[in-house]
Amino acid sequence: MLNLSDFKLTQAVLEIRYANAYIIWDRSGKIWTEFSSLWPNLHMLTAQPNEVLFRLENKYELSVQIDKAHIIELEPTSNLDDFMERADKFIKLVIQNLEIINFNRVGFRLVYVKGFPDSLQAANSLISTKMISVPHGKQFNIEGRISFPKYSIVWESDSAAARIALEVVDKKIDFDPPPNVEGLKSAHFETHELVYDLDYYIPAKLLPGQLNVKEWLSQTYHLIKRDSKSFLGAI
Amino acid sequence: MGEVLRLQPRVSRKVDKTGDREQAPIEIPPVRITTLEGEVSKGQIETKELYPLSGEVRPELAVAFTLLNEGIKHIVDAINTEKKGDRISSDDAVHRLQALLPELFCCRSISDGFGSIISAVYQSLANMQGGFVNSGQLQAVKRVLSRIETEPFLEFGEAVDEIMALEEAGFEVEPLYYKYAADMLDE
Repeated sequence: MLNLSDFKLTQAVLEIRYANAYIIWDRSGKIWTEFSSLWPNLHMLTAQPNEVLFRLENKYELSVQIDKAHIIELEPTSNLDDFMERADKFIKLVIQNLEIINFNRVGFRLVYVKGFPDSLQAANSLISTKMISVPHGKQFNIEGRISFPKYSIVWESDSAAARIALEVVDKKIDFDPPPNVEGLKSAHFETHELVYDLDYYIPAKLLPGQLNVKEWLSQTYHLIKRDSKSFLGAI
Repeated sequence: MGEVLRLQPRVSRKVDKTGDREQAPIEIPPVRITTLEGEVSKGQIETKELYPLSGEVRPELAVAFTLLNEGIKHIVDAINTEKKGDRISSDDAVHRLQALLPELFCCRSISDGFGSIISAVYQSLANMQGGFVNSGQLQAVKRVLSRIETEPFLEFGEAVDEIMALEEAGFEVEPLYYKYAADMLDE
């Protein structure tokens, strides 16, 4: 059985979706000017008519598109206080400037990661949760073992839903500096991770006056921490 | 002029699928992992379902939902009895609603819009000074209470529209002495 406290929270995302807000073509500059006055360290990544993407302090990513907007925090603090605070301001400004009258969907996604020395241990850890049943012995005439197991389910009602995924992911990171750059060394390494990816969302229509971002995130985060054990093998 | 080099590591996943096209390296920025499922939007959700832990972590919200629900029942009762011509019962129902309003006002930390609407409804009924509330006025009260039951986090600007609707129904939404104070200041 796994425990949520064994994992490290690596990413928190809040996304709102709405009907096409064509007014984005008139208001984009105003929106990002207002964000820049709130957060002076904003740095533009892309700016296209239907989507503008900014980064803040190499920690936040903010995007406003014609039909959705999101804020992502990388390596957030475990209490998510800063994320909730910024998300609240971000969503308020988007609602105000794009004159959103309805959300089609509101989603809160958290990605947790647990590192392992090798992928076999990561796979065994997932299998130990007994959330998936795996065969033993020789299969397809292969005396094999399980590699890269994954399970994903959606737990839903009419008013809320959660997509839960647990997956073993190996990553290879290669960094080779150009030959004319001194002082940098190349780096090559692999990571073996068990990724717990939880996407909690409201699939129903919501009015802006129904949503208090901080309150919703805070209550939802509490629910996620409270009930995740059921999807990590505690059933 | 200085030159800025932005170097990124190449991150690739160790996936080996038959027939899979060679994968482009996964670039770290931008992140582009947002929330995934559920393209189809279902009907409207009840606000209290969004905040299931309010009883424990935000009691004023839980109290507001309960009291608003009760208040709306009273106002519906008032409308129905008024339609039948039973003005005494209609007035009783309005008094029962009035009794809930001070406690609802205590929940004003929910939002500026919430506090201003409750205050306006309270003053509207108090300023009737015992007079009967007509069906148009009852409907106006029902409408604003239903709105904040659905949208308790209403912005103040939107609340003003609702308060103006109360005024259009013939209510005085501010304490009467404000009028006298304004007159005195004018003189």
